Amino acid sequence: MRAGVLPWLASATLLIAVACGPAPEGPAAPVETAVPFSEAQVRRILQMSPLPPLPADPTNRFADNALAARFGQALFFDERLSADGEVSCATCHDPKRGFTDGRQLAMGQQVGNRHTPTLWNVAHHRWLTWDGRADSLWMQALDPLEDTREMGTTRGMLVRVIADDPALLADYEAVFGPLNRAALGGRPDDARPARGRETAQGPAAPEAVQAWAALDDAQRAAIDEVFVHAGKAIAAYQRLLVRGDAPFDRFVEGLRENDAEKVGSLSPEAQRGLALFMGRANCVLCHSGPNFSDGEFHNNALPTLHGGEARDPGRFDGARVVAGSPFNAAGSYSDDPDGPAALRVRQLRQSSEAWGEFRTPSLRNLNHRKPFMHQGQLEDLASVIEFYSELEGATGRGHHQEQVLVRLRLTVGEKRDLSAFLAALEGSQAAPGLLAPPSQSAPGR
Amino acid sequence: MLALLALVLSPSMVPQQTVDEGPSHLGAYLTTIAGLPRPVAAAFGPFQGRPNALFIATRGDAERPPSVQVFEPSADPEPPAPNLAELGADQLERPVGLAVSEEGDVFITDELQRMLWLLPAGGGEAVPAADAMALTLPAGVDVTGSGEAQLVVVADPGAGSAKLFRGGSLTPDVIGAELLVRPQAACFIEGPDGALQIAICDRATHRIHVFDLDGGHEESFSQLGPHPSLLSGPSDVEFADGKIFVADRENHRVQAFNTGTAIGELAYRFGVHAIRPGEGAGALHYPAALAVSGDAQLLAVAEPMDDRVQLFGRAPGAEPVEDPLRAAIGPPAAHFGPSLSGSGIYMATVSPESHQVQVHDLRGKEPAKISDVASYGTRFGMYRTPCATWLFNGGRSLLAVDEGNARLTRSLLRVQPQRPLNADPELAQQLDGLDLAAASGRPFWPGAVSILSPGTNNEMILVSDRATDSVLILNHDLETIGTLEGDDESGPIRGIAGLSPATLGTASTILVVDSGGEGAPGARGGRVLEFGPSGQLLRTFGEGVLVEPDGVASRENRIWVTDRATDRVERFERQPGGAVQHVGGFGGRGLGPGQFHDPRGIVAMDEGRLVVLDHGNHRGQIFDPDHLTLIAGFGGRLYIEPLKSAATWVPLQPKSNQPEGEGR
Amino acid sequence: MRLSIPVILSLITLGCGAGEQDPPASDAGTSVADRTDEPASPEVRGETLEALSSGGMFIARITPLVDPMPMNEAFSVSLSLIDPESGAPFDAYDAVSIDARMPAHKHGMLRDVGLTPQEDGSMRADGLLLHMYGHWELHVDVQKGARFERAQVSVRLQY
Repeated sequence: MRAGVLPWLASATLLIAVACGPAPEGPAAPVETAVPFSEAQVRRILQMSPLPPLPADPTNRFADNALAARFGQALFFDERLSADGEVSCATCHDPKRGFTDGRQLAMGQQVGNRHTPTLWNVAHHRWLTWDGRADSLWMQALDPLEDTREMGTTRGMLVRVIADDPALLADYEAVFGPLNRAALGGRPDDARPARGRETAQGPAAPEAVQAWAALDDAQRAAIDEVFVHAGKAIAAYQRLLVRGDAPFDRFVEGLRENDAEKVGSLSPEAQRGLALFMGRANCVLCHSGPNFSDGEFHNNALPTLHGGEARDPGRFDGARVVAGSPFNAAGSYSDDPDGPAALRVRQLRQSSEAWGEFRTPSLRNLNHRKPFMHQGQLEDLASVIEFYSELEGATGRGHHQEQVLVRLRLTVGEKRDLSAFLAALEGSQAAPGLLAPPSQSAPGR
Repeated sequence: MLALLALVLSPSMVPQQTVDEGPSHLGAYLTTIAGLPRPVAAAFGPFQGRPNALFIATRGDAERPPSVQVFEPSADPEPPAPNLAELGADQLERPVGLAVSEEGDVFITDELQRMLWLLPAGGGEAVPAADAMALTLPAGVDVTGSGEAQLVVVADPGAGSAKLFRGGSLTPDVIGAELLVRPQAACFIEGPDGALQIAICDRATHRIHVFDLDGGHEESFSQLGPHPSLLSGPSDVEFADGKIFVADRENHRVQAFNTGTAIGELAYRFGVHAIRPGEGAGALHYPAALAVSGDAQLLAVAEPMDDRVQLFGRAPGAEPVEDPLRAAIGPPAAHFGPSLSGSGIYMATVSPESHQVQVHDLRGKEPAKISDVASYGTRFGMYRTPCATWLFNGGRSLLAVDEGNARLTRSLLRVQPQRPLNADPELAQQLDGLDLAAASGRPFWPGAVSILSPGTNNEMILVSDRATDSVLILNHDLETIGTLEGDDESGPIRGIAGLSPATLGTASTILVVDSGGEGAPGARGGRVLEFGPSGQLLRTFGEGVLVEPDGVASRENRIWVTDRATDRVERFERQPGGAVQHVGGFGGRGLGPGQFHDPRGIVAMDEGRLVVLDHGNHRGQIFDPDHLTLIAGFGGRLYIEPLKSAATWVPLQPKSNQPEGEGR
Repeated sequence: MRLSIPVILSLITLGCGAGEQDPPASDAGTSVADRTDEPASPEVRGETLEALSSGGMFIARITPLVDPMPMNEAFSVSLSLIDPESGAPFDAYDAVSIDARMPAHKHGMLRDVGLTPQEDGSMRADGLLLHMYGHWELHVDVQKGARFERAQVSVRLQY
C-alpha cells in the first residue's frame, strides 16, 4: 500500500504543468544539455543553485563582526577548553576531514552517541545538531563545552583560560569590552550549572556544580556573559565556513546564461543523476533547496549501529531541549528575543511523532564526510544509495510517523549516476586561513 | 545464596560499606500460572501466614464465575504455584482492580457494580469500602498503610479522576479531575523527600501523572508511541525498587521508569512481543496488570487474553539484554481492535497499538487497507484513542468516537467503488464534530456510535456513554434530542456495549447491548434492549442465552450478537409481530474456521456477508450469513493459517448503480 | 428532505511562481536565505483562498501575506471569517484555530501557529511553515459551544 506517494506526485506534476501555462521561466532559448531537460525541469534546477548569501542572525549581534570571528576561530582550535587539555572543537570538526572526524561516533573526552556532522555551510541550517537542540549557531557552541563526553570543561574554566592568556584576552576585550574582573575574581575555576539529571546541590552534586551553587547572582551573570560571548564569537567564525561554487553550480549558471561550456561542467552521468534526484528517486523531497536540505527532521528507519532497536530519541528530545533552554532565540541572551527566530522556537510543536527523527544533512561537500547518518552507520555513499534503493534493515519507525520512503530499486547505472551527481556538489577550495588557528598577522577572513 | 557469594567475593570489605552486588533488574522469566479464566488484576500480600502470596482477580468465563484466587508463587514450573483459596466468587460480577493491604485485607473494584469491596483478612463476606455514589466506573486500586493512616486510591475512568479514601472513610477525596481522562490504574509512590505521592496511568492519553496526597499535580511524563519510554494504552502501574513499573499494554511490554530527580526517565523495559498464538515463556501478549512482591523479587504480569499470569524474577545487570534476532523483526504489524463497522464494500476498524481508524476495501481477495483516517492529537480533526466507528452511505460517511478526546467526529470519505482498488492517503476529510463532555455537561466516556435513518428528517446519531450506561441521541446538527436508558420495568443497563439499528416492519429501531444484564447478585447474563425511534423500550431479548454480549448487527429480519464469555455468535430472528427469537448460534473457543476467541465487533454488510472481529485471535472472519460457512479471513498471518483450508472466496462486486464521489 | 452536501471550494495555489523572471542570484532558490522568517510588508498579498465550512456555519478566507506561498520558509496569512448568508464578518464562535497537514506523508505542520486579532476584524497568523513539496491541506477549525466545524482549502506546493 506504499504505492500512494510516487504515482500521486507524478500525476500532480502533470496537473500543475498544464495549469501553469506558458510562464516565462528559465532561458528563452535553452542551451543544449547532454540529458534533455524539460522547461519544467529547468525551472526546478534553477531553484537548486546557487547557495544564497548567508542568512542574517539577528540573535547574535556579533555574527558578522570580523574581529569576533577571529577570536572565535582562535577558540575553535584551542585545546585548553577541555577537561584533559587535549580536545578542541577542531578535534571532532577536523578541517582536513570535511570538518568531521571520519569516525562513526564522535570521540571527545569519551565516545559519544552520534556521528560528527560537518560544519560546511552550517550557517544555512535552521536548527543545529542532529536533533536540533540549538536554534542558533552560538547556542550550539555552548553545550559541547560542558558536555562530559565532548569537551568536559566548564564555563567558569573558559573564563579562566581567556583571562589568563594575554592574546586571547586582548582579542576578547577588543570585541566585547573589558571583563568584569570584580565579579569574576576569587572563586574556583571549574563551575557550571547542573546538566540533565545531575543533582544541583549538596554533596551528591559534581564538584563543579557545587561551586556554581556557591556563587552569587552577579558572579554567575558575569560568567554567563563571557560564555555567551564565546559562543557568539565561535558562531561568527563558523558562518565563514562556506563552500559553494560546485560543478553543479557552474552547470546552473550555464543554464541561466546559455553558456554551453559551463553547462558542460556536469558530466552526462551527473546530469542523469540530477534528473533522477528530482524525479523518480525524489531525493529532493527532503534534500530541497540550494543547500540540499530542508533543515527539518525525518526518521528514515535506519538500521542501528548496535543492531538492536533504535534508542536515540532524536528530534523528540531535541525539541524539548531547545524549547526549554535559556540560550534559545527567545531567551535573555538573544539579541533579538522578539524576532522571527524567537517566534519559531516558541511555536515549535512537541510531539512523539518526532521520535527517532534526525536533521536532513546537506548534500554539498560530501567528500571526506564518511561514514554517514547520525550514528555513522552507513559506511560510504554507495551504502547510503544502497539503503535508499532497497531499504534493507529499515526499522524503528512508528505507525503515526511520516511515511515517505519507498524502495527505489535503482539499477546499477542509476546508482552510478546518482553518485556522479552527488560528487558534482563538491564545492571549491575554501580559504586556507579559515582551516587553522588564526595567524597573528592576518585576521580570520 | 547470593549474599554468601558476595561475602566470598569481597574479602577486603571496608567496615560499614554495604555489599554491592551490582545493579539488577526485574524481568527474568520464571514460570506461568495458566488456565485462569481471564485474570484482570494481581497483587501480592499476606495470606494465612505467607507474606508474599499472589492474589489474582479473574473475570471468569462461561463456566467459571469471577473471583479472586490466591496462590503461593514459586519459581519452579513443576509443580506450578499451588492454589490456596478462592474468594468472593458469589459476590463479584466483573472485578477489574485488586490490592492487598499489609494486614491482608483485600480490596476489589467491580465495574458492573461500580463498587469498591473489602474482603477482610480474617475471612468473611465482602463489605462495601465506598459510598454508593462515590465511584462512577472504577478500575485499578492500590492501598498503603493501616488503620487511621490507611490510604486507598481508586482510578475512576468513568469520572475522569482518581478517588482517595483515607483511614477507612467511605467518602473519598477527588484527585486529578482537570487532568485525567481515562485513569486506568493508580499506585502510591515515594516522592523525592520520602513523602507519599500517587502515580496514575491514563489509558486514553498514554501518559503517567503524579499527584501529591492533596491532589496537587507534581509531574507528568510519556506520550503515545512505540519507542522506548513511550506508551500505548498503559493499563497498570506499580511502585517497587524506586521505580514506577507500567504495564504498557498495547506495546506488549513492561517499562520501568525512574523516580526521584530523574522521574520519568526510562530505567529499562522488558517483554518481547508474543507472535505465535499462545506464545509465552516470557513473551508478552497484552500485559494488562502488574504486581510486585514486597521484597521486589517477583513481578507478576496478568494477561487476560491468554488466561495466564507470568512470573518474572530478578537478573543481574541494569537492564535486560536485548535479543538481536528479536529486535531485528521490528515492531509487529498492527492488530485489530475490537470495533468494526461496514457499509457498501468498505469496512472500518481501529488499530489498538497506534489508535488509528483504518478504512478497508473488501472487493479483492482480502480486505485491503486504503487509508488511515486522521493523525494523533487533541485538536479537532485528530484522534487520541478512537474506540468505535460507524461507516454508512456506501462508505462515503464515517462517524468516529474517541475516548481520549471525548469527541464525536464526522468525516467524508472520497471512496470510489467503481474505480480500481487503490490506496488513498487523502481519502478522508474531517467535517465537523462534537465535544461530548461539553454537550452532555458531564465526563462522557464514549463506547459505541451508530446512526438511524441517515439523510432523512428522522436522522438520529447515537453515542453510548459507558460512564452512565446510557445512549445520547443527536440530530443531524449534532444537537441533543434525547437519551436512551433502561427503565424501572426493564432494570438499568449495566455495562453498555454495542449499538446497531434494526428494522421492524418499515420502522427503524435501536439495539443496545447490555453486557451485564439485570444484575441479580451472583447471576451472570447479558441481554439486548430494543428501543423504538421515539425512545420507548420495545423489548429485551437474549436472557438465558447471552453471558457477556458485546457487538450486535442486524440485517432485514436477522440479528447477530457476539459473546465474549462463550466465544460464540448467537443468531436471533424477528418473528411476525415483532418478537425476537433465538434461533441458534455458532462458534466456540479455538483457532479454526468458525471458532473465536473474544469476538467483539460484528457487521452485516450491505450485500449480505457477515464479518466478525475475532479480537483475541487478531483476525476477522467473513461468513456467508445463510449457511454460516467461512468465506475469508484477514489479520495476523499466524492466526489466518488455520482458516485457509476452509475458505472459499467469493469476490465482491460493487453495485453498478451506486453513485460515487458525492458526499452527504 | 434535507440533505446538506458539504461544498468545499478548493482552489489550487501553484508554487511554480518562483523564478518568474530571470532571477538575480540572491532570489534564485525557494528557500531564499536573505528573505528571512520576517513577515512581509502589508502591501504584499497573495491570492485569497476561500472555503465554506462543512456545515455552512462560516466562510474562511485565507490570504497569504507573501506571494507566492513559499516552500520551507515561514510566512504569515490573514484569516477572515464571513457569515455565508449576510456576507458580514462572522464572530459568533468561541475559538478558532488554523493548522496544516500533508495527508500523503501523514504529517502535519511542525509549528503550532496562533491567531492574533487585527484592527480590521481579521486575524493574522505568523510562522506557518510548509516544509515539503506536495499537497497540503489548510484547516480552519471553529468551535462554537460543544460543536466543531472545519473549513478546508488545498495548497499544492509544486516543485
